[in-house]
Amino acid sequence: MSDPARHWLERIRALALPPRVRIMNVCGGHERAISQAGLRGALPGNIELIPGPGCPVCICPEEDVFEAIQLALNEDIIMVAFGDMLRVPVNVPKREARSLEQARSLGADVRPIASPTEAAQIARAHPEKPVVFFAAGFETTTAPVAAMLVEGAPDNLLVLLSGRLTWPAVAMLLESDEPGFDALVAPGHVATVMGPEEWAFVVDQHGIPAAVAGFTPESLLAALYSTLRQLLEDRCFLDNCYPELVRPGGNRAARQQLQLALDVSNANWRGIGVIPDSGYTVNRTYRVHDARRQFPSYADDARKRAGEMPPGCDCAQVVLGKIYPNECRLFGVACQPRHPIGPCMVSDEGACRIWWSNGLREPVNKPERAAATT
Amino acid sequence: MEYPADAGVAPLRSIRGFSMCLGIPMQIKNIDGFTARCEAKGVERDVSLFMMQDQPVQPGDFVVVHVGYAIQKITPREARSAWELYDQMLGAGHA
Ligand code: SF4
Repeated sequence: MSDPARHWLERIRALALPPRVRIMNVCGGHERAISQAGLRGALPGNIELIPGPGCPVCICPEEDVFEAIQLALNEDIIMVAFGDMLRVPVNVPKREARSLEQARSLGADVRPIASPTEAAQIARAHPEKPVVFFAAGFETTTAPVAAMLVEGAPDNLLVLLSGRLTWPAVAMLLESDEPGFDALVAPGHVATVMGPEEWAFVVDQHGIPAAVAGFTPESLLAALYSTLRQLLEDRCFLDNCYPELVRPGGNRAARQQLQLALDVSNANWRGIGVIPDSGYTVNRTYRVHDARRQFPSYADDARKRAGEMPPGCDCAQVVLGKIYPNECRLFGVACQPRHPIGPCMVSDEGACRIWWSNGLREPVNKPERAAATT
Repeated sequence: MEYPADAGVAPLRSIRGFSMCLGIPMQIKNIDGFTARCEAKGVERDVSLFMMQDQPVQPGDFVVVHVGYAIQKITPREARSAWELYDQMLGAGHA
């Protein structure tokens, strides 16, 4: 651990903390950095760090993944998606393709990409075929998709968009009876693009301390210290502990491109349900690039278990920070990165995958945290 | 998950866990329109500057790159410390 990180840790240890403080993060990158730096073990035991809704792959609607699989299998197209999406399972009978990867082994042309620019390149190289870009992600990933459209995508490039906004899920938690956290670490790169102001509602409307953090232990510890001080002094404000990247207003060009190409709409979150104003859709101006307009017949939300997590998988609870990953009884047993049951074990940003990667391999039989609070 | 063979970016792909959220600091070598040739740790790749239109950048500058797009400028010192951190994380056995 670096000297500045140690300094923040010592300052946190010196605080007169209440018996229990729950601090939520909403970014897979934060959870990975916390786990890899071993911050949970280093902090006083009364501080709980809770991974919340920080994994866009995990909450990507089951029916959207199903739609992508069916499109890839039944149309003469090339399907491209970020690598994580290829292994996300849907709820179908055993003999049918459960994932894009399985669709590929059945002969569909499915290709992993690392950037929207790659999707455009593939479309340019195959002008004779529609190329469908299945794009799931939060603001940091959806903004580049918008940029690609605004810059001018090839005619045969269609986007199957499952973009989501991060803050509405936090708003939903805060408006519920049991938010499950006392302070928030806000996501550094979402704030880099969208501006830190998006998170002011946490403080202003709910009186919950909040601080934007980067991805180093020192930035994360500075943010934790800030929220703890805010709690102890009963003086909340939105702190910015990642000023090197996060500036007022965010990245204006990126925000403008989002506005030019996409609309914000109510959207479904897998296993959780519809959250108001939490999704992006391709707008009218760019509708020729909207895969849902070009192939409207592939949405089938009426299937058995459509929209749900796989049977036995507690991902929805994990994503909302209601339970820790190893409180799912399938964790590390039936569900492992090599044979994942739920999306939280597939994605590099899924809390189950991150915990497993950091050496936790077995489920714990704790009572649900929600029940243990009182 | 296997990725298509693509020698040039393999080392960056190997830390793909960071590609979604964390972003990778890279240095701009040269610029052609909205495309910048960028370098990090000896690996080069093309990066879009389309989201950087409000913040002029030039060769030598460092940017944080997220899914192939530069999202913000960063100082050389910050870029270095971010890379040190990633080295530590990778050294710690990224499974
Ligand atoms: S351990 Fe597997 S089955 Fe359980 S919540 Fe995580 S991803 Fe779902």
